[in-house]
This record gives sequence, structure tokens and C-alpha cells, in this order.
Amino acid sequence: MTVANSSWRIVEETLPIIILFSLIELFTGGFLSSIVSEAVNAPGLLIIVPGILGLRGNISSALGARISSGLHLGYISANKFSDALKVNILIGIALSLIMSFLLSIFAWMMCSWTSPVCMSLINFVLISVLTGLLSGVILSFTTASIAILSSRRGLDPDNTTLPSSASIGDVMTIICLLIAVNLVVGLGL
Amino acid sequence: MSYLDVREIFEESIPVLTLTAAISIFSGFFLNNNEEVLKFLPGLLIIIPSFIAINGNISSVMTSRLSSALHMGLIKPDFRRTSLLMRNFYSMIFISLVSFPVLGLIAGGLNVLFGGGAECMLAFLLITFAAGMTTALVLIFVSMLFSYLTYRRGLDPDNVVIPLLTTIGDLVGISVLLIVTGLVI
Repeated sequence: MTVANSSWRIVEETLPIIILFSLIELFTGGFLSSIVSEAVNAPGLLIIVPGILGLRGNISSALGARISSGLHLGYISANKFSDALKVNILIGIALSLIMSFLLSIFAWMMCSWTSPVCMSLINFVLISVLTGLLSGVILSFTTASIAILSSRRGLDPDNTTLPSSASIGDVMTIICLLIAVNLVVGLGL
Repeated sequence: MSYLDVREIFEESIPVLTLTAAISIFSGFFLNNNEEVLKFLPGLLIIIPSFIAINGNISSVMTSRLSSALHMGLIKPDFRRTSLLMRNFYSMIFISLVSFPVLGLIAGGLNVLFGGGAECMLAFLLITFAAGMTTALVLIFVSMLFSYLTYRRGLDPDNVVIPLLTTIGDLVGISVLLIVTGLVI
């Protein structure tokens, strides 16, 4: 690996990926505009958007990094559904649940202090936790699958897992949020 | 450290995640308070995740490169302007100079597509460019500052600075973008 390379090389290797990812993120933006329309029925909803996307990214990238290390060190096997892999996936889901619960409390407090109309604390909690559960399950399994498949194909999971799960993660999470809002608001809770 | 100490993973993750969740609520506050502006400019809303992603990527790449250079002894954490440091700095500035105008053009195009006026094109270019460059400059300097400070304390900037900086990037990015939009309109 070279660190002392030329400015041009840094630009050449980084710029295409940055532009590509920002184009993928336009899909997230498209769904975000649906979220803004839903916010009429769920005032304060926008407060949890950056947080839920951020948590998703941080939890999945840590999970991806741990599974990659496990594959390199050999305590996770690419050929069977080992216990260490199961435990890691469960940790990813559990962290999503705990953190999305905490996030909804923070969001409700922020909303009550700064906004004249807010949905109830129960709605904040239900929407956030449901999104955390759905996206946590989907993305923990997706991240694990990408790492395992990369490893089977002889690719270094450290290089492939993080960028691909990050770009899928935002789109999937915002779709899960949209589903959760519709369920919670639709049920009239 | 054992390979799979469940308790350790929870103990190390929860404080960082709680801190990032708390910071992110302020980004959410900016979004929520500007709901009307966002409805008025559909193009702006659609590019927000891309805008944030560019900032996040630039600051993660910068931190990761600085961290590797620090570990390899190629840069010392003493804030001196060595040629390697400046090369990294100029590369990130160049990447920002290209990425943000591209995003501005896309935003303008999308705005027309979703029923906005074509005269907004120039405004969008100006907004993404001004907000993008301001945010990128702030984040590049914060990346340097945090990487040096954590490295001096014997921590690995890869583990600490990247998650913190992507969250700070969201906050700075969203607030600057909305403030600049307010000024331009």
C-alpha cells in the first residue's frame, strides 16, 4: 500500500466512487420526499431521519468490520453458519433495537422543546423501534451475506462489505421508515 | 481481547452510538424546522442524502488517509505543513470542487422534473457549491485536528474519528445547506 502517492492518484481513485455513491443516494432522497409528505400525519418525524440513517450506518459498518476480521482470523467460516456469525448478527439487531428506542426518546424531547405540534411519545417510539427492527434484521443479514460471499470469491471482505452495505443501508432504512410510519399512522395509534 | 466478547462489544458500542444519536437529533431539528423550505424546493430535498454522503466520504477518506500516514510515521501530529499533508488537502479540495457542482446540476434538473421552475438552476448550483465547499473545508480541518489529537493520546483515529466525524458532517452539512438556501432565496 502506498500512502505517499500523488494528488492525482488520490483524486483518480476516490472521485469516481464518491460520485457513484452520491448518485445511489438520490434514491434515498426520492424516498425522503415521501417521508416529508408523511410528516403531515406524523409531526416531528423528520427529527429522527438523520439519526436513524446514521445509526444504521454505524451499526452495520461495525458489524461488517467484525465479520471481516472474523473471516480473516478464521473464527468465522465462509462455508457454514457458525455460532460466532449468528451471535454477531444478533448483536447487530439488538443494538438497532436499543439505539432506535433511545433515539425516539431524544427525538420526542427535541420535538417537545422546539416544535408547536408533535406526535405522541408512543408514536415516536413505535415508528423508530419498528424501523430499527426491520432495517436491523434486513441489513445485518445483508451485511453478513456480502462479507461471506466476498470471502468465498476470494475478495477481501474489508474492501467490499463497508461501501456496499453503506449505500444499500440508507435506501433500505428510509424504505423501512416509510413502512413503519404508514403502519403506525394507519393503525391510528 | 477475546474474539467474541459480547459484553465488550456492547460496552464499546453503546457510548459512541448514544453520542452520535444525540448529535444527530440536532441535524433532525434543522430538517424539521425547515419543512416548508424543503416542500418549496423538491430538488433540494432529494439531494440532501447525496450531499451528506459526499461530505461523509470526503471526511472518512481524509481521516483514513491521515490515520494510515500517522501510523506509518509519514506525518507527525504537529500541524506542520508538510508536502504529503498538503497533497492530501488539495486532493480533497479538488474532489469537492468537482462533486458539488455536479450535484447542483442534478438538483436543478430534478427540481424542474418535479414541477419547480427552470430559473432555479443557477440558484441550485450556487447553493450546493457554496454550502458544499464551506462544509468540506470545515470537515477537512476538523478531521486533521481530531486525528492528530486522538493519535497523540494513543488512540486509533480510524475507530474514534470516523464515526464521530460522519455524524458531525451530517449536522454541519444540513445546517449550512439550509442556511445558505435561506440566504440565496
